Amino acid sequence: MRRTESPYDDKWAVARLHEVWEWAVAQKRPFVAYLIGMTILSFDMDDGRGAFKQPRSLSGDNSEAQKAKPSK
Amino acid sequence: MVQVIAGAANPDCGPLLEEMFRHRYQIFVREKGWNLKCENDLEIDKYDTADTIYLVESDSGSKIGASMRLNPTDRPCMLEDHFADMCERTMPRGKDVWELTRGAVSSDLRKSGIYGRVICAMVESALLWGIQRGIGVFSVDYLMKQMRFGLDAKPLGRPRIIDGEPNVAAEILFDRQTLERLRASFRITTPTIERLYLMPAPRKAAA
Repeated sequence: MRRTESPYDDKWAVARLHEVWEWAVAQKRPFVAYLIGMTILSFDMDDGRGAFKQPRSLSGDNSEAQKAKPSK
Repeated sequence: MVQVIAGAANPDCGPLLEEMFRHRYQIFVREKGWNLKCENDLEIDKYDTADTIYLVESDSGSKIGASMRLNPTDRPCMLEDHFADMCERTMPRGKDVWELTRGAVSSDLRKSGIYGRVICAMVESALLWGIQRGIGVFSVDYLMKQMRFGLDAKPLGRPRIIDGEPNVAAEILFDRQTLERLRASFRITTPTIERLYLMPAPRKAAA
């Protein structure tokens, strides 16, 4: 193993995040639980090989309209 | 985007819950003609509890477009209480099994992608809460459609005609692969949960 490689894998990382999620829910901390939850649910989008793709807007989002606004 | 609300009487989102119960009344009582006990145009029953989780898709936090009710099955549940004879196999139950009921979509939004977001939010919530399976009674058409979109569903018995429509008791498996298939089918690239409302801890009594 190269010195820069982590001995841990995705499964390990998601399991640790899940522990923190369960802690946040038990502690009634919705914002922390939300942020950790989004991290868990987004984990597969970034596999660490530089292949991360910017998420597209959901239908109904008005980000295209916002883009069309002239900048000041 | 979908709001996830824990608790039927969650004080942090009272107006949104009330609007959802009114939306359910519109869909199930007014539109479908189900004979449900309601008060003040709100459809609430004994399965709306402090442990219930709701998925609510709303337009800027007020007008409800779609919703769904998720209940743990380590206690009395609707499938056992009312539709037990539709299960020819042993009904899956336990802390890691949710009962899925009261899936409602506004009639003018049924051909939009709104329910796709609710279905994705259902699987996302299941993954976060560590839920392995969902059970419920579904219309056969609906279930077939969801299976084409990527849900892994297995019937628990033979279909039966309820209110003129074939329905079947089924279990649905929740895993990351299911979420990937659903996201691809509905062309969703991000988590669909927008906000999480946990039931707040009870306030300490004043000294």
